[in-house]
Amino acid sequence: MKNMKRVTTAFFAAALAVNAGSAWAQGKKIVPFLTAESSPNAVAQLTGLIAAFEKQNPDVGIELQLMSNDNRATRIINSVSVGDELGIFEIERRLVPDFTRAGYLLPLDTIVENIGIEKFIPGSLLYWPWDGHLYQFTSDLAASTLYWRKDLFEAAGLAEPDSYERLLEASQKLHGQKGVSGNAFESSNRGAVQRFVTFLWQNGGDFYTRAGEPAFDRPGAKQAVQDYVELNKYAPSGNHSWGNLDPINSYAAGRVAMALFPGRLGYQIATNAPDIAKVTGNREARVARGGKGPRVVYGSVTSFAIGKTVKHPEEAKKFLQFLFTGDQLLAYAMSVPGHVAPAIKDVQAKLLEQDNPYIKEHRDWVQTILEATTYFNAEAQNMGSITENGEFKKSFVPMPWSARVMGQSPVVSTLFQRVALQQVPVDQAYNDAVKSFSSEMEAWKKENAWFKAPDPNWQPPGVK
Amino acid sequence: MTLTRVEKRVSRMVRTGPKMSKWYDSKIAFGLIMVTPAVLVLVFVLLYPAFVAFQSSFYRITTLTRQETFVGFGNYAKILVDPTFWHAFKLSLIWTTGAILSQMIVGVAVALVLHKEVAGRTFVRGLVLFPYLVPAIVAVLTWRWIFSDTVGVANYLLVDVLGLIEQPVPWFDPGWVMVSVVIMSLWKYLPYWALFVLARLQTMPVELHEAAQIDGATTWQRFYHITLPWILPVVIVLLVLRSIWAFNEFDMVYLPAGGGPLSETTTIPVYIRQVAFEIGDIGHAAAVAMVMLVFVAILTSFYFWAYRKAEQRLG
Amino acid sequence: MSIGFWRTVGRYVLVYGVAVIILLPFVWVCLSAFKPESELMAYPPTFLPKQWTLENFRSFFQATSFHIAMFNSGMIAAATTVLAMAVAAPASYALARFRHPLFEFIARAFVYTYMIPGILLVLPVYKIYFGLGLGNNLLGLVPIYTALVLPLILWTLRSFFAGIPVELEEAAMIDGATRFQAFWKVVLPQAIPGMIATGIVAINIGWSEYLFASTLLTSTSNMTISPRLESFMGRGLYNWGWLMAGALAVTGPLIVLAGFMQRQLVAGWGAGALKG
Repeated sequence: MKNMKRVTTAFFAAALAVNAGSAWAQGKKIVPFLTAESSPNAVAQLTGLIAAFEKQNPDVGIELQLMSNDNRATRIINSVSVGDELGIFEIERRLVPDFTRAGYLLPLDTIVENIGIEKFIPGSLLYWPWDGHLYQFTSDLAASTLYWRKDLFEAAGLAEPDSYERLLEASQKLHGQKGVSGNAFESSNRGAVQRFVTFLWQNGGDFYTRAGEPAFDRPGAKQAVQDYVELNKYAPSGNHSWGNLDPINSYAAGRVAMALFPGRLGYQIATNAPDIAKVTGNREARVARGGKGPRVVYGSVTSFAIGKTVKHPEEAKKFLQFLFTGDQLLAYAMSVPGHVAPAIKDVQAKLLEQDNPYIKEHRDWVQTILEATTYFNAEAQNMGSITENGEFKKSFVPMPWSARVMGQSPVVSTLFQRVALQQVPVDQAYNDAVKSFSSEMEAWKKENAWFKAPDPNWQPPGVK
Repeated sequence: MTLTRVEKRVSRMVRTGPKMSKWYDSKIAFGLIMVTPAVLVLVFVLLYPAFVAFQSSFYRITTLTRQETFVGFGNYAKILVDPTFWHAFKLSLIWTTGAILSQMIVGVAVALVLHKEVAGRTFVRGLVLFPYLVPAIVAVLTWRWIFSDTVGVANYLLVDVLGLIEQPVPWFDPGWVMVSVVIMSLWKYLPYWALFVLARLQTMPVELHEAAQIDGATTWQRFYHITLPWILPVVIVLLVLRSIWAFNEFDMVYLPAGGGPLSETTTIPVYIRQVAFEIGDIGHAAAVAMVMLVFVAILTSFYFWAYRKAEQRLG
Repeated sequence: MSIGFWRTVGRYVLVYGVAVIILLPFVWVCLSAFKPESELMAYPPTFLPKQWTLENFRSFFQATSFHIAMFNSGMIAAATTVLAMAVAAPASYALARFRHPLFEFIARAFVYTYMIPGILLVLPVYKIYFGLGLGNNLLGLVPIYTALVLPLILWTLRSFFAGIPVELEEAAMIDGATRFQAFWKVVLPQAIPGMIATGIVAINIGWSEYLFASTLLTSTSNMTISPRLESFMGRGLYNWGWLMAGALAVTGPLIVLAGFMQRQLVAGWGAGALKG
């Protein structure tokens, strides 16, 4: 008993000490910094960069808060809904419209003014079309390319997969051999959208027009759906419940012959599965019939926003500017080399010249990926980029209702899952999806009377 | 002692009712003082926020902007005719039944096994506790990995190594996914059942078994007439409490498959989260939680009634 | 070989066999923590590491300072257990002994509060705590956890107390002890196996609870292990090596604790076995 008493007193003393100890940091101006990055390198990089900033600015403390992808949205919504301080945070694409409209975000125009808009790659900054201000600062751009197993293709006498027909043939021929599945295209809630949209756009289809009217009923969309369903038959059977890393895992384990994925896949296999990396090819994704169609692929802009409730806005903006420019941006981009492209021109140019084993060995991959960042499109950030004529004219209008149709259970994921798991005929599932896209949009518009189609001629600053 | 005398002795020891001592019926002030701290904790930490949540069920509250609009019983009316809600309710029933039955049966069996006299049995008992101590996230991610269709060990063993089945098991397909979820929970929580039943078994008087053996009772008879009644109080208490837990459980149901595929694992707690954070109406979510609360309360009342009946029969 | 011998062998096989089956996934995790990342991503999966490495542990602790989260969790687990036991033991004793309808009502009421789902309470609690300035405060979790496990502990402890014959404390009181002394000195020691079993529940929630911890603790230095672990699964990137290392780090201390408590349990059983 006596021992227990001593132990408990010790614990409580320690607890008080810890709680008091965290108060010592009160001397500094603390800016919270939330991110969902988790790779060991990236976290180490970030900590180093924070230390460098704090050295230059001794009165500021940056508090790094790691959180998972899944928890992130909940965390941020919770914070916002109780008026808690929200510092710098990586803003999820589907939260952007609601947050911006609700006035939770700090305008960041001054950061760009400090740097000079001409320094940025055109179109890499996400301005809010309805008031022309900048509420998120771009940290990087990412785009998908096609990874394929040269050795398996060669052994089966298959040509390089540069069109839908060749993708299908390869998937069919290579599927089932020695535990290999044809491809890693998925129907999961997390991955379906990102893989599918490349098919959608290269077939001339899109979800909505730039003015915010439904467009999924175009013939191009239907064709893309049918093609994707067909290819999905040759993907691993559990792909409907994959997490973000499962395509990488399955490719690295040699279980699939093809994968459509951003640069992280390349880096991961080069690091952890070098045998697979040696026989992997990386090329631009051409997925429509005959390899035709507009030159566009899935990609996205990652950006950070600052909550309006942040206690030290100027310091927060200063750190954001520090982190995502110059050498720091280069270091940030190099944390997972080849995965992301910096949004600042001269930094991106330096990327390929870096003395890094991965970049040295797979320079061609990195080049392909960097090139893809010049013709990528994001469904939530660039609504209606594919015109009626099937041309790619990148719009910079975010999809205001993306949370509804691209949220936790995206309409397209449900479509593909119904076909694969419930044997619903493709036509029926497709028609239901068309209806869903329409009805969700209508429901959102009813609740958000502020929405009106943006000026058709509006372009964000920096885009010719 | 004859078997009937043993039985009577068991039931007398088992009865969790009062011993017939006068002063426990008076002098309740002492008892109240003992109980007060617990009551205070509960009222301030649980009941007050629950009341706040209850209030919010009469409003429509947008999660993002916290705008409140009074809707009276509107949320409740919406719920009772909502097929998504009833689907979630059905799934909750399936999940609860599957989880509790499997945990109870396997848990009690394991407790009986661990009760046996072997060298190092203390050590083994400690070992068996581990799955319970593994946090839900770790348990789920581990099992997701084991059940993975590409790098998973389960299918590798079943198909390639042991050749027990032809096709790999689609662990996360609709139809199978609930089974996978139940398996994960079974693994994690059977030590809990085993532990409590075992602790109870430890207090079972050895002479009862010895006497019964002398009288020529078989193993089964001994189990049925002595062991079972002895552990029954703990089993029933656990049954009630674990059922409530299962109904309310979020982590072990949500983490494996995020409520999918196609809402096949969207039990009511998962549905509540969906309503709160995806549909974005906290008032509606609170109303769903209230409805669930009412159902669980009814279920528990039924348990209590059944328990009293069983007690009467034992006495 | 006599039947007795085979019976004994059978018994050992059964007991250890069951333990092995239950532990298999866990053993898998332990072994995997020592495999390099490339082996973890390979197919077919290996059981014993082809290559033993400590790299996962090293990079994991270095990059995440996980030991801070472990310390936080340990502190909260201990504090919760202490508070929960201090509050629950007297209460369950009273609920076991007193037959007055008021106590029946209280006992029932606890079960009904146990039905309140955590997810319903999260946002109101969040609002209240941040309103009181207790946001991101580790110790603030202790009352919540206590309240969450209290009904469970109360009810299970109650059935243990009920199994302790009244004659013991009556004898003590005849010898001149007060009611409280009778409880403290005579009844409580008898209930130790039960208290240890229920204590594990309290320790477990403090150690590995996720929902409230992830909602209320916002700074990394305050986080407990479950939200901290979950935070590594960012961008959907599962660094398998880290996950395995983290799993071991998280269960290791509990293994030690459980081992230690087993000895206490045995001591308690000796005292608690009823005779004649």
